[in-house]
Amino acid sequence: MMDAEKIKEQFFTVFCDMADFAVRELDFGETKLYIAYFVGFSSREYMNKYMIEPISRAYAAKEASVPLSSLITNIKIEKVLDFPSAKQAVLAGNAVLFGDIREDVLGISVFTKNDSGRSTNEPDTENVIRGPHEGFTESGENNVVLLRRRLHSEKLKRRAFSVGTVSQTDVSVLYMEGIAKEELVSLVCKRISAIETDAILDSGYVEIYIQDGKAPFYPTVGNSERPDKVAAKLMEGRVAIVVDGSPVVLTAPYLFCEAFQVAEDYTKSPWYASFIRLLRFVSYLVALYLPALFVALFVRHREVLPEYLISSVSEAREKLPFSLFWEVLVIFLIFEAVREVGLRMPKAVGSAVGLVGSLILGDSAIKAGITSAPVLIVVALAAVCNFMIPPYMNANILYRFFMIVISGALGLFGFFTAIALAALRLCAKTSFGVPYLTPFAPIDPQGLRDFIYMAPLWAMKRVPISIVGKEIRRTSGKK
Amino acid sequence: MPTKSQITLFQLFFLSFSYVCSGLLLLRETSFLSLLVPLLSALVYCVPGYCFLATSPPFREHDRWICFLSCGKPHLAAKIFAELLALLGAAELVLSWLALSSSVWSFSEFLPIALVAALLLPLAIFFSAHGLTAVGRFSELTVFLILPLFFWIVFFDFAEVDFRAFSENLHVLFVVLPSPVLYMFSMTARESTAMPKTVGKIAVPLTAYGGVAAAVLCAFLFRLYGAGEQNLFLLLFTWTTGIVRLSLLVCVCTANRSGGSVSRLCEQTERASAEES
Repeated sequence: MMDAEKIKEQFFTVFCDMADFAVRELDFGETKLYIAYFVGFSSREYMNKYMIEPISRAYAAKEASVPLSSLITNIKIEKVLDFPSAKQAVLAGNAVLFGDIREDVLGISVFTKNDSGRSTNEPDTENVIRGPHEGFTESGENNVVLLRRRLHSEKLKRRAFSVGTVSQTDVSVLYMEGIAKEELVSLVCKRISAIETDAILDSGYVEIYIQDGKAPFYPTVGNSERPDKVAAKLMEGRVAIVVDGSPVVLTAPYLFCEAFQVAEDYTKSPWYASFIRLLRFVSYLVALYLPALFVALFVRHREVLPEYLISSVSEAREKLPFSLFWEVLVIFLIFEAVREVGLRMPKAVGSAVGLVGSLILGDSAIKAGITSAPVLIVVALAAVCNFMIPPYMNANILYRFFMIVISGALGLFGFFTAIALAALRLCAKTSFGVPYLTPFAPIDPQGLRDFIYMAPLWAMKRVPISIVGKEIRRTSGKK
Repeated sequence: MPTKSQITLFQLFFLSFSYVCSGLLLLRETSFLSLLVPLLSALVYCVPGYCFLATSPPFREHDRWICFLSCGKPHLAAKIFAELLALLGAAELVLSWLALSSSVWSFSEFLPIALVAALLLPLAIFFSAHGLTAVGRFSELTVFLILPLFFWIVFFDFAEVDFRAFSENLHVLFVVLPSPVLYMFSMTARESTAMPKTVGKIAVPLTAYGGVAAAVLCAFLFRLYGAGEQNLFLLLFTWTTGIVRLSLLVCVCTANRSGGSVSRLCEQTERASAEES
């Protein structure tokens, strides 16, 4: 075994110029012990309570002849055999005890990581009126606990990874044994193991590495800050990926229909939930296609429009300097700029910018003869509808520009071609081997009970077969 | 897991539906004959289809089409038969391509018809390059057009129905051809989870025929309610089903090319049966 002084020296060499690194020396006469740790990262309270206190007491009572590891009262300890492991343990927030420890190891790593993070709050991004107001936090361990608290089952399995050559971020894969397909779990684990990067600083990094395709337009990995939502997804045979340091938990596979499902739907009347889902779906179509259809019809196919509509739009646009196509495009760009400013600014300033952008700028632009009211209404309607489907918001913005351009150039034929190409790409797309447009392309009758039409919970008899690949009964189907 | 060219029973239904519906809508024919021809011809083609299906073993991924036609034992006659069917498919492909181009152009006269035609064919090839599975899934999306379309057209006035017995348009005879019908039968998944085990082989022709019947009914209803040329939903529906039709025909025409030589097919089949035994 290495000499304690040498280990100490090695620690100071490796962690040179790191003012927060410290080594506490415990001198018990003939025995000298050292504790290496990072100030603040390791909890002082834990080190005092689980390490220094019991060891000191044992030496005072002259009962310290037993191996030191049995004196440490912390539940999680690990023997470290070499210096790189000791270094890694300290970097992970643990305290490493070394010196005369009377064991054939280099030291003992004691779990003393300071876990005082923020408490669980309701996530800002997924508000509900009825339902749990608890969200994930930045602590990976805590996030796993939040899931275990909801699923008291030995079937909730967890596989752990350490990703990032420098960051060594803890990544956990959770799944329900017997429900999640073994191939799916293996595929997720394989993709996580294959990540080659220096640092994983957020779950978004993992998402980019494991998603299907190089740069998919639509997301193939889901995410949520709500433990109840992730628990529900686990029960449907999906896999959850918890990344330490991120309050956003990933789920895979992610299907197109998931964007239209909200946790609160399941606590409402199925009729109302179905209506709201239909509204979301129509909003999605309006957000994507209304501006392009408007451009296609008014620029290229005026003959199909009623006379009064043409005259009212023409009157409103009489003195405008731009063509309708450029007007729509420019107004959309201005809207996106205002939206981005509103997002990045502090909340108080952001709302003021939104007010200036939406009311004053819009109204003034019409009065100044830069834009027309019909165009502004179409743009505003599409923009508002886009907010109803947050997971596709960014993809829709880009796709909408493409649609406007091609519809302006080729009219309805371009509009149709763009829709057909996008739909085909979505039809061919898969998320971790599951067709992206399931349950409506390919049709899965059981899955259709939870898409636009939402059946009562007791009538959703089986887990979606497209995800689990076999029939798994959830309820008897009776009430 | 279904492969790139396998289709489910639902997809078979919607592919048959799109194939026949687009044929009828592109021809703008609603005489009794034009509605009866697809029903009768589909019925005729379903019989040999069912016979092939009943006698052939489950196919492997490649050369499924020729294996189907030759009941699992590829030989020269089957290859020639497949070529004949492909030729028929090619003829229909050209006719459908021109009909769809003219339909698009009649609505977008500001575009040169050559440009429309030049864009449509690569589009169909691009579709078929994604595999019949993707085209099948795409055809399933037509339901999202049919539902609003029906919701829309019921508010229209009734149109005068054409009760003529005969059609002047000979093209109506091409609305349903044996090649796409048999091709779709050969691609319907039989060994995957896509088809429940309880469903027998008879389900395949019945489903396809159901699709044809639904298409004829749809085309009749569209005409009954006077959904004309200027109806945007109907236009999008016609073009959508039209592109499915073109892609399906491109798939039929290219199916033989991917098959390879008859001798290689025979070798593969022998090797496969040896492995299984």
